[in-house]
Order: sequence, then structure tokens, then C-alpha cells
Amino acid sequence: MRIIITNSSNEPIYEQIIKQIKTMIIRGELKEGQVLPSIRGLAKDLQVSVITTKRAYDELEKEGFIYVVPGKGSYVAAQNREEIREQKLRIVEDKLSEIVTLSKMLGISYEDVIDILKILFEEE
Amino acid sequence: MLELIKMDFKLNLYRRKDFFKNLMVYSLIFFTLLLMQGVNPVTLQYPIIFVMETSFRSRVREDIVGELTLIQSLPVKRREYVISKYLVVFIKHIILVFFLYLILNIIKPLGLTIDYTGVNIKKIIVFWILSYAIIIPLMFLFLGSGRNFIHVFLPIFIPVGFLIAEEFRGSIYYLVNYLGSLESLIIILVVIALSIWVSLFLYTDRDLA
Amino acid sequence: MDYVLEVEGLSKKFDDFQLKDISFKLKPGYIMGFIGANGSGKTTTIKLIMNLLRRDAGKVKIFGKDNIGFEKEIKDRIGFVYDDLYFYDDLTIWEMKDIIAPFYSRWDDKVFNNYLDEFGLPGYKKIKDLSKGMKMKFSLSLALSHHADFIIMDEPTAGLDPIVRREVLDILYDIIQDENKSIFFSTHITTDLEKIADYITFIDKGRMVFSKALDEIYDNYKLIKGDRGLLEKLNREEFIGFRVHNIGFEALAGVEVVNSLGTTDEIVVEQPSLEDIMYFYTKGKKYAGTN
Repeated sequence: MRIIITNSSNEPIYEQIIKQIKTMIIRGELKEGQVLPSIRGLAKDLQVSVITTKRAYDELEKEGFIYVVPGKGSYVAAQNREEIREQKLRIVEDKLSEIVTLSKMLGISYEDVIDILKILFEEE
Repeated sequence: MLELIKMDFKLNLYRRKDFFKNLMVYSLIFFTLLLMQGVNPVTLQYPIIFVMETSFRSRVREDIVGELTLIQSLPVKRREYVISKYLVVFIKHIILVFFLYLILNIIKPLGLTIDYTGVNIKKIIVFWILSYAIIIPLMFLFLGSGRNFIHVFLPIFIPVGFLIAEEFRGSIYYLVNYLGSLESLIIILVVIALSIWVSLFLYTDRDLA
Repeated sequence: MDYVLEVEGLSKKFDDFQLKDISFKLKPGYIMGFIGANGSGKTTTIKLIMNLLRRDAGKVKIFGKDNIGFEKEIKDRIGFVYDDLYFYDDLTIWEMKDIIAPFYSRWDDKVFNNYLDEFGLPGYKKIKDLSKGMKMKFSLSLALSHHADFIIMDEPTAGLDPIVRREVLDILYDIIQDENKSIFFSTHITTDLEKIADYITFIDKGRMVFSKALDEIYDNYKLIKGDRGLLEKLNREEFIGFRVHNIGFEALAGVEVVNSLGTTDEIVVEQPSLEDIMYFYTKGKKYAGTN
């Protein structure tokens, strides 16, 4: 499991942690039932306060992404397929709307964008 | 409390080179005085000086406040520290007296004699007890306050001061002549208790600056 | 116990300095950094907590018990490390340990020897022959070898080179993996704390400035930068502190103040470091820089 945080961004560290773990769960890199690093272990590895990692895990638990068993550890929760698909769609939609805005600004037409998309998908 | 006493002896053990050097020097001075002047209050103060020096670690170089900061950060009560000093002094003094007595018997065959006339063991013991009863609280008066030079001079001046007082008052003689009777014994014990009480009073609330 | 350390209304008066009304609490299992400029009262506070100084007023409770009434049993569970910790210099490491160990009911020789190995400290070496870094590691070894539940340290990283400092921090990290252990340490090297502390207590000129979770501090304080012209338009009273220099100004402000300014291109908003926070609080509402 790979989490990288940066001190130089204005985004609070706990949010960075939440985001990255969420993404990994949605992408399927973290499977259901998989054990996460302990709150303290993670704090040590990232060199941040225990309160920060605890906050991140609390938030993730509240949103249903993980569950914490006191005394044992934290685990990836079973993910609702529908919700996951929603999340995934949302990520792509966000990126696409950036592209749409950029295209309009640069004067690139819808057809041009579709052409580019086609080529990129076929490259895969 | 036991650990404090053991600590004192361990320190002397680990510093045995210094310890024996001091012991030799003191013994030399002691016996020289003894041979020259016989038994009198001036010569008798020397065991006290030696015991105080090795019990209160009054080497001028040492950082007394630092040492107390270390000791009192350990699980040690202020009260324990004070009482342990009295016990340490008591034990060391007895050991020293036996040691000196042994040496006395060794030098006897050499023909060096000591003028024993007018020596009253009880008087000596009382003198020692009362000296300690005064010096130790005086040490605690300054201990940890940062004024360390006192440690060096106190053991010398106080017994001397005490003797001078003794010359003017016959009360010590009075006390000694009746030693063995319950009253005098009680007075001695009260004096010791008072000394401990004063030391506790001085040290328990002290700021280790 | 609710709190491993509770300080309330702690006060002490000296001839030339006064510690007044210091209050903060630490829950078990966390690290609290104690910051303040030199002479602000950090060492005094720690000495009061350890009852090396007698307090004039206030309460100090460790493990829920009064630090004077239960002094001995509390100190049995405390590991202490001071910056200028005194040892009998002419003794060896083993001899010094031999003197100290018997005072603790839970002394563990195996743990101690492990630390000696880990730190590369030869037991036969005299303490006066140890470098400052090695002496600090020795202090740590002693403090951590009797299963202490609470580690209290006064400037443990002062005077150490950056490499040894990191090593010391790593050790603290390891200790805190056990959620029954708590650490309290004072320092003026705030960068150490930014990595490891859960809570920060900040003291200045003998008074409390704040005691908060590090997270909360980062959430609630922002650094504003702009040009001098902008400063004229803003209400300086709302800043915690500011600094004007030739080409602009910097100010520390609460997040509500920053939000009320709205977003403009004229203002840059940044995350302050602990050092920034310390600086602006201490310097106050003055022209701290060049005018």
C-alpha cells in the first residue's frame, strides 16, 4: 500500500490520506477485508501525528470505506457495487469536465475531442 | 531508602582510588595530631570531617544541584534522602572508628604512645553525636541551594565552634557525667530527633535551583 | 485514567521571572510537544512537574495522582531525560546504571543492554568520555529501561547533530506505537515536533499561549502574505502578529479572519509552520521586521 503525503500543499494531511485510501479502494487495489496499517504504524511511517491518521481513519469509517475493530485493527469494508461504480464514474466525469473546459478555452470542437478519445482508447 | 544508602557506598566503591587516598591522608593527619596533642576536641573532629566529606560529596568540582536533580527525579522522597544521610553518616563513622582503632593497635608496638589521660569514651561519643546533630542540618541549610563552597568549610568550622562553646559551658560535662541514666539518654535522642526534624524542614520544600 | 498529565493553574514566582497559571492536559498514548522561546519557562514547568521546584499554586497530577503526595510511586513509572542531565562523570556506563537501576521496581536489564547495543554504547566507557549525542542516548537508555509509562524530556535534542536528532525521534516513534505510553517533551526545535507531536503546548514569558492538537493548529491558523499597500487596508488588530518588510508583509491570523478577507489575487494564504506560529505569537502586534 502506497501513501504519499506532501506538506507543501494547502490540503490538510488527513484529507490527503483519506483521498488516497479511498482511491485505492475504489480502484480495487485494496480488497475487501484487507487489513490496513495501524493508526500508529501509519503515523510513524508518514511522520505525522497519530491524531491525523486517526482522524483520517475515523472519517473513512464514517463514510463506510473501512471499519475499525478496537484492539485488532482496521479493515477495508465491503463496498457497495453500485456506490463504487458511482464513485468511479464521478472520477472520470471530473476529469472529463476539465477537458471540456480546456477544449472550449482552446477552441477545440466536440468532434475533435471524440476523435482524440477514439484514438486513445484504441491505443490501450 | 536502602537504595540511597547502597548508592552512597557504591559511589565510594567506584571511586575507591580517591576514597583510599583521602582515607590515608586523613588518617595520617589524625594520628599526627593525636600523637602531638593527645585526645582533645580538635583531634576528635577529624573523623567527622572525613565522614562528612565522603557522605556529602563535597568535592568542589562537583555540581551538587545537578546531582540532586538526578537523585530527586528518581523515585526518592525528600524525606528518604535526609534520613539516609543520617544513617550513612552513622554507619560510616562507626566503621571509621573501628578502622582507626585497628591502626592504633598496629602502631602501638612501634612505641608511639598516645596520652590517654582524662579520656572519657562517653564524652567522646556525646561530642560526636552533638557535632553531627549540628553540622548535618547546617549542610542541609545550603544543600541544593547552589552555594556549594560551604560544604568544604563547614565540617571544619562547626566542630571548632562547638568546642569553643563547650569551653564556656559545663552543660556537656554535666550531661556526660550522668550518661547512662535515662534522662541524659532521652536528651541525646531528643537532640538527634531535633536535628533530623530541622534537616527535614530545610530540605523537604527546597527548590533545587 | 483520563489523563496521564494534568497541570492546572500552575504558578511559581522567582525574583526575575514568574510562571503564571499554566494549565494543560495530556491523554495517555499521545505525544505532547512543549514549545517556547528560551527563558519562557519550559524547564521551570518541567521541574515543577517533577517536584524539583515547589509550586506556589496550582495542581499537578500524573496518572491521576497528585505529584507530591504520590511522588515515589509516580516517579517509578516515569522516565526522564534532561538536556544537561548530571551523571557521575568519572563512573562508567555500567557503574552509573548499577547505581540507578535499583531505584526502579520494574528495571529491565535486558532492555537496557539492547539499547546499549542499538546505540553502540560501550558499557565500560566512562561517562566523561562520551560525546553529547552518546550521553543523550545513554540518558534515553536509562529512561526507557524500567517500563516507564510516561516519558518526560527537557530539550532532549538540543545540541545534537541532525542525524542523532532523527535517531532520537525514531526512538520516540517506536515508543508511541504502544498506546499505553505517553511522551511529553520540551524543545525549541519546532521542526522535530511537526513530524511527531499530537499536541502542542505553547508557553511564552511564563504564560500559556495555547494547548491544542497539532491538527487543530494547522486547521485554524493561516499565514497571509501581501504587499504593504494591502496591509494599510486591513485591520491589523485582527492579526495575531505581523511582520513588515521592504516589499511586503506577512501576518498570522485565525482562519475565520482569513476567510472574512475573501479571495483576491492580492493575498497569498499559506500554511504556517510551528516556527511561524511561535514567532508571530511571541513578537505580537509589532513591526517585527525591518520597517
